[in-house]
Amino acid sequence: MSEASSDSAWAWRTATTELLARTRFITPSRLPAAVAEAAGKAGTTTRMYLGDHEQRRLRPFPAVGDPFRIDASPAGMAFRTTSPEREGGWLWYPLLDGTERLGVLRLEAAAADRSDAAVRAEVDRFVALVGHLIAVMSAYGDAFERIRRSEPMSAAAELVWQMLPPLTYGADNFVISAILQPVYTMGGDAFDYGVFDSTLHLGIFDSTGHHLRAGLTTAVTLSATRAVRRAGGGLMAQARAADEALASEFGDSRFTTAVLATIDLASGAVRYVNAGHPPPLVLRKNEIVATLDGGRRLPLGLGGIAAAEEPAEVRLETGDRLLAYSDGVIEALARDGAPFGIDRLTELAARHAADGLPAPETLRRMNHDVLAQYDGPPADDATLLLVEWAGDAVGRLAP
Amino acid sequence: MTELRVGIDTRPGWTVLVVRGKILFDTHEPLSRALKEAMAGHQPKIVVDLHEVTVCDSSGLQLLVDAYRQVTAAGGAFRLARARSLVRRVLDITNLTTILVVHDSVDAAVSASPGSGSEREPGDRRPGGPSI
Repeated sequence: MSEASSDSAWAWRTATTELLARTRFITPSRLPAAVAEAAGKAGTTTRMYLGDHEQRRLRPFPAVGDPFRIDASPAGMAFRTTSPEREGGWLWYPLLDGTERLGVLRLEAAAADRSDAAVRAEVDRFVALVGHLIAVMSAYGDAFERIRRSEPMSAAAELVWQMLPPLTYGADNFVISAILQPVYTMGGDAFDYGVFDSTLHLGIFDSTGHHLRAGLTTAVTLSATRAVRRAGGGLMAQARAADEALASEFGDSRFTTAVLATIDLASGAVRYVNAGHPPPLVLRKNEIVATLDGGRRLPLGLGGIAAAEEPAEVRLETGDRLLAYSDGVIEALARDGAPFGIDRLTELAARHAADGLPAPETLRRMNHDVLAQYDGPPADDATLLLVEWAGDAVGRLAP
Repeated sequence: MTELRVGIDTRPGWTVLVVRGKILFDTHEPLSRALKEAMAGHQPKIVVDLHEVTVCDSSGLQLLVDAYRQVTAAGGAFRLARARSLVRRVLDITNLTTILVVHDSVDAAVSASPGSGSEREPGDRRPGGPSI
């Protein structure tokens, strides 16, 4: 290792320590300045950009200067591919909270020589810490949210967003990612997931009605199923808990369609209950190899008549993808009938998967393709949820 | 909103609601009103003719389930007839056809035997809910 390289790696290590020290007792608004001061130890200026919730633009934080389009800029390229991107003397680095994409950080390329493994490792570590700090500090103020919102959020959307887990999570041999629209006015759609030991639990939900009314229904359903899951309860118990919670909380026949599922991450075995929701698809290369239309029962909230006694089962093979969606997606893709909509959806999934993109980028593009079908704002909430199992899915998320 | 109209027809002992248009969260009021009136009597028997309905969203489904439960609880009968492909599809996907049986014609709906699926009670009784 040359002396210059070792000096630079050491300077970045100092910058990381400095960043930890400087951010312990500061407000979120001061994070960009703290990052810049710490990175100064490694000889570079920094500029922070956060992705907006519709995942179309990277907005400067603090809000000085113009945003960049994610689809058409070197900064956007770093965000899309979750890999650093060179632009002249700048280096655009993806900002991730683990695997969730938050934005990009601009560094000076001369101070972050990626051809040197020791320097690269230290820069990666510094930028990873910035991503974690954004995620942690988001709980304490609105500085990040104000940047990430391009318009005010409805009360219903506010309610639903705060219940959702991060849009992307990957570990070991799986990645789960989801996207919801319309970002600022959605109400009835939601998704959930959680890993316990080697089981991935997941759910997709769509409640009757619109706006806050639908959001409240979804809040009750999601809370009921999650509480049972966290107490160790199975899929049938989760569904029953939602039935009971909705029935006791509301006097009408409102309901939530849902698929509740578990994936055994060791074997790929999927167990699921389908409570009146459009059946998720198992995709192998470009083909639908299974449709999750077993385990049928009435929507959550309507009790257990005609309910399957046991969850249905299907088995994933290495490299398979599980794609769940809400009816808003199909309605957008096919105004004139179901088969066409599902064909289009499968075709979109196949086309974007063929590019070898990370799962969240596949969904971002599919989502924008779906939205492009509308002349105006979407008529209904539209949710896409994608699970990639046992391939190199996680590897594609790393910077 | 004038996207939904409801006409009233009868068969001996039955009220037939002939619905035209889109049953959506912001259009369903005329159907809601017509159902309420039709349910006012003793042991109401109602057929909803969906032949001229092009779209039914989840709010519309909720309205039909509500009516079904109230009518069933009152000892009456509530049936659907002539749903077209899109409406048929949402009833199928939501599994609601297990309680809301769709008949091929109004006459078939009226003459179907009570055991043919449409007068079952949804599983759990609702504590504190409407009298079911």
